[in-house]
Amino acid sequence: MPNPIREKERAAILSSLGAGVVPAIGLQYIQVGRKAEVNALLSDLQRVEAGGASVRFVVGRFGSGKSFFLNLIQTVALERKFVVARADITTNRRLSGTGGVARSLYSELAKNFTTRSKPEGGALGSIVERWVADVAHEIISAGGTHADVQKRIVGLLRPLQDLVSGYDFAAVLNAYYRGFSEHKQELQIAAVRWLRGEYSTKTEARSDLGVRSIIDDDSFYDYLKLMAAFVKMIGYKGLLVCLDELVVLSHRLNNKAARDRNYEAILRILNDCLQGSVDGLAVVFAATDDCLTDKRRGLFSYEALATRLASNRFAGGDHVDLSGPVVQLANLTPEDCFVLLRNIRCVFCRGQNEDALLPESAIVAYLESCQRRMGAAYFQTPRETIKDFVGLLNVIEQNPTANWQQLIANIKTNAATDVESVIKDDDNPEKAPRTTERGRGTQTKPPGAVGNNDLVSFQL
Amino acid sequence: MDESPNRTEPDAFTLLDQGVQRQLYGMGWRELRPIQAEAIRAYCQSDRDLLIMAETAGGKTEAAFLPVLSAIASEPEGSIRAVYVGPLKALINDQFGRLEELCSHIDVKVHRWHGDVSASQKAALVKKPSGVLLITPESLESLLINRTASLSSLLGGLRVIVIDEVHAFLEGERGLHLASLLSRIRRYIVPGQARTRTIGLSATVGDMGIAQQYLCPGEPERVTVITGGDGSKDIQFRIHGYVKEAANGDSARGQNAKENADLRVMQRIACDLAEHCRTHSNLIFANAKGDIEIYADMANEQCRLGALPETFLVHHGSLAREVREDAESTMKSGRKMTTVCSSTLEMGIDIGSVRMVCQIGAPWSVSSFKQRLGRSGRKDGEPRRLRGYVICEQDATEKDPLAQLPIDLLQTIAICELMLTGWVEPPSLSKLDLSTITHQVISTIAELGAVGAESLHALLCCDGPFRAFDPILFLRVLRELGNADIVEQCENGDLILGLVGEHLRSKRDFYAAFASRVEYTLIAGDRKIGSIPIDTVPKLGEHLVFAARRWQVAEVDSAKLIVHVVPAKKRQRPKFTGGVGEIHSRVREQMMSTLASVTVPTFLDATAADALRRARLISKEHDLARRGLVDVGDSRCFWLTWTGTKRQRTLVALLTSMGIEATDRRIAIECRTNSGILAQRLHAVRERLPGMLTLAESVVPKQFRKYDYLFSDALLNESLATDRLELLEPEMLLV
Repeated sequence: MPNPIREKERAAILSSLGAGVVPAIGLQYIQVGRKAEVNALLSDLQRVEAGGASVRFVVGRFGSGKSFFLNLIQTVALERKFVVARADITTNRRLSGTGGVARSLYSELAKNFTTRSKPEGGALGSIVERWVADVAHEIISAGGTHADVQKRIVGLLRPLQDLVSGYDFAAVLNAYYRGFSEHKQELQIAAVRWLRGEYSTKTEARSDLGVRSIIDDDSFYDYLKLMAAFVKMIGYKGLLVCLDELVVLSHRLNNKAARDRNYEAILRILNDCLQGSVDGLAVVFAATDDCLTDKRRGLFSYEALATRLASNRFAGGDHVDLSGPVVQLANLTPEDCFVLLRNIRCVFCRGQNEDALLPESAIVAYLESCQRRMGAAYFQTPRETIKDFVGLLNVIEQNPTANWQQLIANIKTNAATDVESVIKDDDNPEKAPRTTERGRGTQTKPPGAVGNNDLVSFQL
Repeated sequence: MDESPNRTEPDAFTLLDQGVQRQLYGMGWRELRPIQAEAIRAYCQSDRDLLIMAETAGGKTEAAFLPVLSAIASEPEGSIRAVYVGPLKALINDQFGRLEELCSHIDVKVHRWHGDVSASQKAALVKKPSGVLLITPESLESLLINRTASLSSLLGGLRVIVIDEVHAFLEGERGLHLASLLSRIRRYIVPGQARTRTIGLSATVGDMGIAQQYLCPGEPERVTVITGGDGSKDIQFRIHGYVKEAANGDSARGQNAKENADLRVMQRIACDLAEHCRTHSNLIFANAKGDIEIYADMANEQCRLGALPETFLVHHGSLAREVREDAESTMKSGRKMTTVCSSTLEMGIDIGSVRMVCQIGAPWSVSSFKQRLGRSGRKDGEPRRLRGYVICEQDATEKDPLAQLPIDLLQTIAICELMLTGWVEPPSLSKLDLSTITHQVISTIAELGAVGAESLHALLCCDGPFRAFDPILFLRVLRELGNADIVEQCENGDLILGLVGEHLRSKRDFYAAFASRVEYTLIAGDRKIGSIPIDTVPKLGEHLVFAARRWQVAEVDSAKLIVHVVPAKKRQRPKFTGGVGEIHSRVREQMMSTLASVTVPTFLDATAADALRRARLISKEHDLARRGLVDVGDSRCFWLTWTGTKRQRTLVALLTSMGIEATDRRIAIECRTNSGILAQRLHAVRERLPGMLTLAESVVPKQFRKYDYLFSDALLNESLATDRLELLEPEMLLV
């Protein structure tokens, strides 16, 4: 474990885990297991670097670590000089639809462009600016004019013009350069806005930039391909697009036609990327099991996807096949969970005096108590386990008198409100001690021996 | 898909649908209860019907619905897949919430259908039938006659019928009614698919065979019985006795003094109730609605006198829905309130945890007593607690030895002791219920438009539950219904509704097979607080306690059937006519042996124990703890029978038919003759026992069901002889 941990990272990890969300930084301190899955994604990135494309579906239950996994891949990809774009699908931001829902997904992705130097997003503007500045510098320093620069830009972008909408793309970049060279900031801003898909009408785009088209619901994927080709051309290794919460499509859209149109869009991406007709694009979808396998509304309800995504019939049990597009995130093994919780404890204590706060036996006891819940083998997710564990650490730290055995024991019985029954006996109107007599109720016993008001015990 | 790789043997949990499993996990269950696991296995691994018996809060609903929901989760649409029949609207509302929760992760819709459900919700279901339907028998009836055209699409793909509180349907008109409805709806199920199964949920029933027969008529052996084994539940109880102060000899004010003594003893009970119940949530059961109101008022008065907040609520069938729901939700909120109630709260409506159950007056059956007891101690590890409050009526001034016996106390003791042995009365469905078959004749004709007599008989008496009606008897019924213009025969022989029949069918109270009396609505200000039967409507200016408040009648509107009341100070018990059910002979036999025994049960308090001892002295003096005759004066004697209400009725009928004036005195029959003559005449009649029909002739009143008034005495006597009288045997007359 890299030590010492930075206070910013520690705070980010603990506060996000405590709230059940995935930390954006400091992942290396807590990552455990899932080596095979990480390697599979690494090989995807290598394929993209070599001029191919890839698509992956990361599948796991709610809280099983999909988002954590995506964050990890993002970190790795940034290290490898990828541009990463990430977005959550919502009912208003999806792959296909009308009224701007697909454009809005594109905008979200474009807004979230991250590079290694801009890991918090918003990198699209700086990417464009740096490239245009570089081209201009190259031409002007060689004695060229602004017109030469514009010609050069068009020339460089020529390969992109073969792609759908490539011509408009080049025109917008040229407009950006005009703004750059003539110090018209509003033109530069308008160009970046256009690239982010923030124009909603063609008239507006035409008056601002002189182009006849805008990025709209239908051209969502075409522009994604253009962007991938663009970043690759200007020197990045490729574009990694992460789309989280695919479950929204399957279980929140309550219209079969709408679902099918989105699945069709996914199918198109899947076909393109698998067939290698795209360059520089890696797409990762994160979905829940239901979202994938539900035959009535999930991806499997769309026949063409079902056959392509069905798992290898020879895999299963101990044998895995990670070459297919679906990466099934298995539940963490108990050992993995143990290591994970120990890592969290280490972060919590800043790597010092961990056993004094909570011994390892307590971690084991805690994990056992989690397992005791019915269906735990199936439904217990790291999110819940971790969230409660951070809570446990917080309580122990803030209440030095608290005893972990008791705290863990309390989780076990939280179904029955024991506290109440403890309090109850204090204000019991039947104060006299209860008789413990058992059996048939007709023993001869003067009733005076028991208080006249006391209840008498029997067993049926 | 890979099924739970880390489990070696599939347990009940893994048999459930994934979405249901998810929900259980989300609810944080530690494990399935044994009955749930057993029910899941039985339902998923066989095609048998199930009878799930466990006490209230034993997890019966889940035991039935976990496998049912799992089974229909894959194909919830296209028809209603599961029908749940519950006896009460409140119960249905309750179960609705629980089922919706279970369905959080599956695509099964839960619908409810009863009088308080909006028409738009009903229309939505009819338009797109799916999932689970929760319904009362009365609404099922209305569905059958008012939505005839939609029935095939609603019920065509029905997979399972769940009947809650089956024990409540094993006797009375409602049980027969439901049985008939279920056989009628089965006709709409499209043949050729898997058999529609039945699941019954019940508290312990005395005779499982009857319940099995009810669930799967004709093939009771198809029903698997699953019993909850919660034998380890501790019960704690105590019976408190109260003795009335002797009325002082002032005979001129005798009546008044007696009333005062009654009031004082009630006040003492109320005082103890307040003392015992104040600090927790409890339920107090009383046998009459009048008692419920008066005790709640008195107990609240005790609270006020002690400068404490009033903690007693009321709950019974005559209260307005808002008042009842208010009591239910107050109890559920966990506030330390106590509700005085009738059998309306006997069933499994969720009212939160109840610490103790009280019973005012003698219980009349073990099964209802057990059901009431089961309302307390629902949490694991909590004992069931019960207190009984019995007035030991012992009028020493009377010469009559029977008047000196505390019969209510004996009955209470007997029922407690029988309960401890585990015995429960077997249920009995009536066979020749003329009123309910009339109801079903009308509604079947309404459903089908017109139907031939033969197919009507096949429908109701061969497929349906009225198997005791052979074609000849059925024809007699039809003929009398024809005379009363209930049915009419067309020229082609088909039966249609007569004008009177049409009128009955269109009345609002038609859907219920049981009689509902004409009632006045009680209104305070602009709020409806309840209703009161027409025969006990208070007069202008009279006082009454209702909904645990005191009122005075300000206006009686006999045209609109409304009584307006205003708050008042004076307390007056409302008059409700009400009766108790039949008492089983085993209870009376137990009473006799209690009287004959010398041991004093430990659960009696000092007063009750004293009363029992005094009763034994009297019994010894007059030799009462046996079957036989006892003379009282010259021309009066008691025939000590110590037997159930049904045989009492039979014997009284016999004596009446012999010309002897006879009155039912619970444990005995009082006869206007001396024992010598009676013994002789009984001996003589044993040689030539009269037929049951002859006996039935001397039973009055003959009409006690909703449509009995339509029939001639001759037919009513047939019904009485079969259902209300016990077959006369010579041994019964040995004295």
